[in-house]
Amino acid sequence: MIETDISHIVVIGSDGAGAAAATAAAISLQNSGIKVSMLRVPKSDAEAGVEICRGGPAGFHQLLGIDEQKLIRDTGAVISLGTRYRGFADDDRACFVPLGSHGMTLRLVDFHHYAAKLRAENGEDDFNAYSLPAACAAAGRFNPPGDNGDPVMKTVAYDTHIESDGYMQFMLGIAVKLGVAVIDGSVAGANLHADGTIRSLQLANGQCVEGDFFIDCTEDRSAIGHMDGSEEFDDWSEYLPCDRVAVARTETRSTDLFVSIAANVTGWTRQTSVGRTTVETRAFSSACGFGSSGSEKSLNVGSYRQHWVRNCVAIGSAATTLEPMEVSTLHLAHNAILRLLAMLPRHKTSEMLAAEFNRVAQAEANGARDYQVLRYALSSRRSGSFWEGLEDLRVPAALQERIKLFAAHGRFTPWENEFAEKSRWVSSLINFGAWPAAYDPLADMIDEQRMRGDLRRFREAVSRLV
Amino acid sequence: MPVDEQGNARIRRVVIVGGGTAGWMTAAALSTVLNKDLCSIELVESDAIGVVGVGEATIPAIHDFNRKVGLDEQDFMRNTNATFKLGIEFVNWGRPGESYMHPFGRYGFDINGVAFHHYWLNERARGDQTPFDDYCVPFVAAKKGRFDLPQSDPRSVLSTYSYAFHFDASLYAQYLRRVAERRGVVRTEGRIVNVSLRDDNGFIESVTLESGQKIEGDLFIDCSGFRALLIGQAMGVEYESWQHWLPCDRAIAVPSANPEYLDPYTRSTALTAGWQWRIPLQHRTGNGHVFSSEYTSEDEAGSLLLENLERAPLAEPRTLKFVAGKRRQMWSRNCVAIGLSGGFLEPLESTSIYLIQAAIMKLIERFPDRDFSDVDVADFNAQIGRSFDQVRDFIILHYKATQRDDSEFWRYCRNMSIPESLDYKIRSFREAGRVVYDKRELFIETNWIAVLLGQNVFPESTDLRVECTPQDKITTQLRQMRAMISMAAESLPRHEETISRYCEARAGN
Repeated sequence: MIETDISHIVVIGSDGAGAAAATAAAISLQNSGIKVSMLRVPKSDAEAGVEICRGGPAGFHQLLGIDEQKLIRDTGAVISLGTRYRGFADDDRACFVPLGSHGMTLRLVDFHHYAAKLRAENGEDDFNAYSLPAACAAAGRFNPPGDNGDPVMKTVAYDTHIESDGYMQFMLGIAVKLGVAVIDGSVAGANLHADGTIRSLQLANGQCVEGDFFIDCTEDRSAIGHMDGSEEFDDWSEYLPCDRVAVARTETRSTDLFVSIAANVTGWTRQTSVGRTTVETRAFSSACGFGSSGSEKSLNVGSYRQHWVRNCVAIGSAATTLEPMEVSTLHLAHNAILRLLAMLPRHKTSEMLAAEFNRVAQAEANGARDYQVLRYALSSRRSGSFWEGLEDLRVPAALQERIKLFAAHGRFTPWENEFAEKSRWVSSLINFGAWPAAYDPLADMIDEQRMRGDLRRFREAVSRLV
Repeated sequence: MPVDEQGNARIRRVVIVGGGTAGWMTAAALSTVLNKDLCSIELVESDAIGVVGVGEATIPAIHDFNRKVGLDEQDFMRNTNATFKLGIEFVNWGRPGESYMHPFGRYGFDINGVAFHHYWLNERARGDQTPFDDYCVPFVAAKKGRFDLPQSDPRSVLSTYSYAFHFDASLYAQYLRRVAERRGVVRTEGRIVNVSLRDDNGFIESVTLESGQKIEGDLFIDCSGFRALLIGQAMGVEYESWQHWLPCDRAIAVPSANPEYLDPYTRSTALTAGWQWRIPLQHRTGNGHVFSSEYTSEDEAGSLLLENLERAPLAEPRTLKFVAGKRRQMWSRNCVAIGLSGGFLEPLESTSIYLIQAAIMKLIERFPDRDFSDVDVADFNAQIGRSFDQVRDFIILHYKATQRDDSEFWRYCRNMSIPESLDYKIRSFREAGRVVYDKRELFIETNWIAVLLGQNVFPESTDLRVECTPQDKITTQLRQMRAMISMAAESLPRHEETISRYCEARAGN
């Protein structure tokens, strides 16, 4: 018999994050006797969007032993190798931020220092010539890499785009097979124990769902919102200007292996393709925008201070809201779910576990926010009311420091529990034009010919492998 | 910004002061990344000044250093009388009569994505007495006196461990000296009598030798040991003492003749006011007694050390005095402290050489121009300071997590307050068997667990997910793991055989 006072975990959700949480819990708790239920609440918007998450061996699905190839086949998911930004600079040139890493380390010096050196000496500024994912995206050709031992293949990383509804269906399919009960309803209220933990959720249809531990993945925080001490919210609207999103779709099939984000007068529009459709997510600021014909909803960017409160954990949009640019809610939710599974408590409350979970969750959310704000901080566009407003945009102090340091010396120090790894930051910084003014002095100490030979061979490997 | 005729502010002259382990490690590493036509490296040392020769035992991180410097492992081992090391055995630390190992390898296998120690803890709660160490290849092999290089096939149980070395640190320094000199490092013999600072900014301009020779440089590296000639004496950077957490302040070292068999591990035995190390090399065994002069006298400590030797001593015992702690900044202006001048932690976890290596690698990562950017300096100080803090916490754990009540010293250690960072780690482990650590740290989950469990810190609960696997299946799997590990360890050659095949020392080392 299990030594725990948790016998029933209830996941509340309306989108991919909820389905992912229920499925992951069911996989992890197989044969434990702990019941997992999914309370499926109606979505707030009629138009379902696209969910983006990390693919490959380090991604959520492969880590849990879920067949990623089958997921891609069954849901018509599309692989993405990076993001193309258009109109973020005044001269209207596009820039492409690939996933994965560029080039290779030579004699203990990171590749981007050599890139900065070549640029300073010969004006070579095609950083992405050293990115295999960028080359694959440009060619429109990509097969997820097997480990063939080629070091250049190891520089590849990719995301998957999945239709929200299809993803939910696929994941719940796995969950139901593992015994997860799916309940449909909407939450009207919560009944609390004297110690402030949730005893049960009261549904609008009169039904009552009891549980010992709750995972709230709903946008309106239908469970955790009823608990004392859960309200503190860090509002990020001073850093991220969009406060509205609208989703529309067209029946045109695109074969792009990347996300497109195009700036417009009132904000920007993200295009992703899944299956036979292209989904357009328009984000804008109501201060300078017009209403939209699609289903428009408001966006309150920010993050709750306490993601885990007593016996309830907020995940996905219940925890953190960012503009739907490069950091996706599902990606953050996946990370949080994996963290939670490794910390599942045996008792309904654990201050220690909650404190540690919240510490890591906050660090990750702040890092993800900064990674996103970077695009505005480095944008030189000032035409259009939205972009004129960037003049007054605040940039978090730590991010300002990081940009300054990178632009001056090419140095970048990753933090603990960071959302984006160093290579992804460097890719964003350089492709948005923050070329380091000075590079590592050690890059001058290497044998010039050998260095050029190594770099040429890397470029050749990229063209060969595309 | 200081620039030359070509508009270039690069460092042209690096001066390393002191030629012990730290000095020659720094010289060898810098000579692999600096082009000698563009930047000279000069090392000043005096034969008249003794070398402390820190740490004759290392940890697996040293492979990374040796590889980056381009050493050939067999050649380096032959030249330093090196033996292999699979971990550190801690005797009498938790309670007198108990022992455990901090091995260089993992324990058991994860089952369904849940770390092995959770399963072991559950079995233990059900009355299973099998020691945790029995699930660890390097422990089992070490106790059988067996060693071979690990296999690369991840499916083999013989791929689940790593190894380090015991070697003669002064021979290691000499070996690196030959490497560095081949690559153009210039060694200058002489004792430094004066350090000149620039009037305008307090940067070091030059050092003057007894002979009157003046050596100028752009970047000075202080490897002068405890004397801290540049960072302490010339720059006046303060030293932060950690003696209240680490009361040991003396070590007496003595070599002894080798026993018949060479154990492939370091041993650390807790005594009444400190602990004693035993490090087997090919030609002799290194021994030392680290103790607190507040709780025992030097005479007592010396006799206890000699009493405990397994074989006859080969030299007169030598005493070292120290204060655990670190320099408040290890990089100040154009001076970087590497080695004992930057900080000292007792060799309980064989981290001295590692901390030198970490500072060298960070210096290479942040290698400056002559304008010495503040951010490089700040980042170096933050990161290397943190490395020291993390190793410090790990060492304090050994003293704090004791149940010994048999001397004043241990009673002090049990009851002392500890850094908040360490307290958080211990509380988190006690709560649910989880280790909180930053992935960039040297010591990760398995290291902490080895010491925590080894010294009887048991969590109140374990990962819930262990209960998903039926009990009989776990029992069977654990039995199979033990059998597989024992068989694999048994299949290895004896440590001495591997040494004689792979790296037998040259006569006359």
